[in-house]
Amino acid sequence: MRPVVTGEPPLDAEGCVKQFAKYQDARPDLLERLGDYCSYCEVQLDVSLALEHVQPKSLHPELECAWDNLLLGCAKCNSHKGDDPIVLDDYYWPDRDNTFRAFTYSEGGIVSVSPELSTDQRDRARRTLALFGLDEGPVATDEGAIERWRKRNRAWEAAVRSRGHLVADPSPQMREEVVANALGRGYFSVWMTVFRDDTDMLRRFIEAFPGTSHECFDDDGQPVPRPGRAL
Amino acid sequence: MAEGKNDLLRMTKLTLQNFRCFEHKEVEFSEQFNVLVGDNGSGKTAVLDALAMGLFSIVAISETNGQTVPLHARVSEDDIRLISRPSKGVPIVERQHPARVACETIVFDSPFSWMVDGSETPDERARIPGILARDLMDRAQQSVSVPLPAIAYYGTDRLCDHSLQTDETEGPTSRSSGYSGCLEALAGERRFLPWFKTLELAQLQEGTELTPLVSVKRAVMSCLGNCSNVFWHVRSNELTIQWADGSSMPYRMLSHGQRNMLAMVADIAWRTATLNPNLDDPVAETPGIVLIDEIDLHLHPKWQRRVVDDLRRTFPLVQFIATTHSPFIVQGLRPGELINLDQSVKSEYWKESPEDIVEKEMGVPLPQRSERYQQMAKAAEEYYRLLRQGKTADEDEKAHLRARLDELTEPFDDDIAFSTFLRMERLAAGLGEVSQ
Repeated sequence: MRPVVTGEPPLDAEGCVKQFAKYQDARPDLLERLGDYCSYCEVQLDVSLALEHVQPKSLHPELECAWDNLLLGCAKCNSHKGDDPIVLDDYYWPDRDNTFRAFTYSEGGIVSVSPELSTDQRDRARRTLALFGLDEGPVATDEGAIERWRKRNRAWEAAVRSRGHLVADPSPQMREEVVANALGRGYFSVWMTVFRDDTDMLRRFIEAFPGTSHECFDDDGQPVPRPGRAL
Repeated sequence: MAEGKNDLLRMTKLTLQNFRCFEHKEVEFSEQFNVLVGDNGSGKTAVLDALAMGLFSIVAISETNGQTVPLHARVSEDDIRLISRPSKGVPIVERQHPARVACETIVFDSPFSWMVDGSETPDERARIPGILARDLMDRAQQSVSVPLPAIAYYGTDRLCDHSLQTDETEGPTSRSSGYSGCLEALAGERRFLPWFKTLELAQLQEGTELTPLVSVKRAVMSCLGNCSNVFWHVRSNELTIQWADGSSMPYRMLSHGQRNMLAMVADIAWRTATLNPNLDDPVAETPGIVLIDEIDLHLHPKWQRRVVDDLRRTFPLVQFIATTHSPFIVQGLRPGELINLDQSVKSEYWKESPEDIVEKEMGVPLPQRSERYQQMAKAAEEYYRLLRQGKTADEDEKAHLRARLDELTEPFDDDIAFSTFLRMERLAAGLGEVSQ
């Protein structure tokens, strides 16, 4: 899960903090900050990417338009999370923690809890995966689940293939092509995992995906604890 | 609404009370396209009829050429909701009161709401559309640069109006004649054909291009597709379509579907050009509200898929409110544009297949998925299970399952380039085509 920075609330033309009449009005600003990716499963989406309320708006109407309660979510992650009350400290959050450290991505795009975490941390990471159903694989009877996994699987295949292309042609142009491919598909974490031994590519991905938290990675593109945060 | 354009007239919400089948119903509308779906009898046409009733007073004053006595719409006896309850074993049918149609709109960037009910003497709120209409007409008369909004209603009987009067031309008319018959729910070939002929002949005689005619022709060609010209053939004295391959065909020979489409587009276009002849491109620059019952009427699925986009592109400032039973129409919609009268869900449809739309949005269960999809789903499950085993998994089995999954996935894949690439790789690796 890509760690992101939503930043300070956006300002209007006069330099005042924007007041959103309806939460949908915040969508363009959030898209500009974070790119058109689901904040949780990292899929790239166009118009169907919705605003996601970390604390459900049904339970916290006062947070409906609050900037730091908003992320971007695909329909699948959104509906999986539902409207249940959220205790923030029970989960890791992409805009608060270094969520890249919480999970590992492996062959075929399988997401699991990172074995490097402590027992408590693993529980928290496991709860986070379950909250969005990211621990689920394809189920023959559930078309949504199949599509969801297949897309991540495709990103993995494309990343592995791109890595092969770079071996054959390690030119800066080819590197840019790979970044463009990654941006078009989404799944930042998949690309970061497949290219984990290529410092230059890691830096490029961190730079290219809008809103990626820079303080979550060192100069070599390796994940480091997010300062002042749980992970 | 496009940037920098006045929000001249737009419907935001309709509230029905004791109207036809509705006890109380609120319907909100998005800015550009709205499509109502629902079972037969769920009230789709009732919503359009109510909207037409709400818009009537705006149009009525215009039809009287700006006379200051506006006509008022009334909810008629037949539109009032009936309930039957048994009384001592005898069913008694009772009309439910009050019956009301309330419109919330944006007019000249400001919110206006009004109400139509069954009373003979309209109250303050019912006078609003008349006042708005007068205001619109006043502004339009004072300055030609103020556009008049197009308003039109196309009902399911729109194809029955075959009273062609192609021989006639017409004299000069006022801008407000662009409202004539606009809520009669007929596409009215008889209105635009004489207009078209008149302008075509005038253009030939005067030797200069007439902007409104150019605009209307462009709209028709844009929606017909594969069409290189639309013109009045003077010798055969009829509207003629010239196709991209050079062949041509009289309008009356078109299929029902094409003719229906052309008549509707031309009718909207003709109205925009009549209302706003001063605009550079009246079709593209006129705002308004257009109601279409069963937008898919007689259209081949191929056409159903594009009609929403065609109308959206051709009339970018017009708000459309339509009904349909076709999943192909629903497929062309954006989030918030589908209004389901059976349930209140709003989601995204363009990536859904017609099967999904039929099943999920229209509530018709389709137990059988395609055989091939089932196979793909099973292969995905198997492959995933193997991947889960990590390093202990058999590499050959993994490669085999992956190739099988790739191949079965191909027909469902939107990533064509990538799947072609995979197929080449499968062939190169000697994995060949996987047997079904």
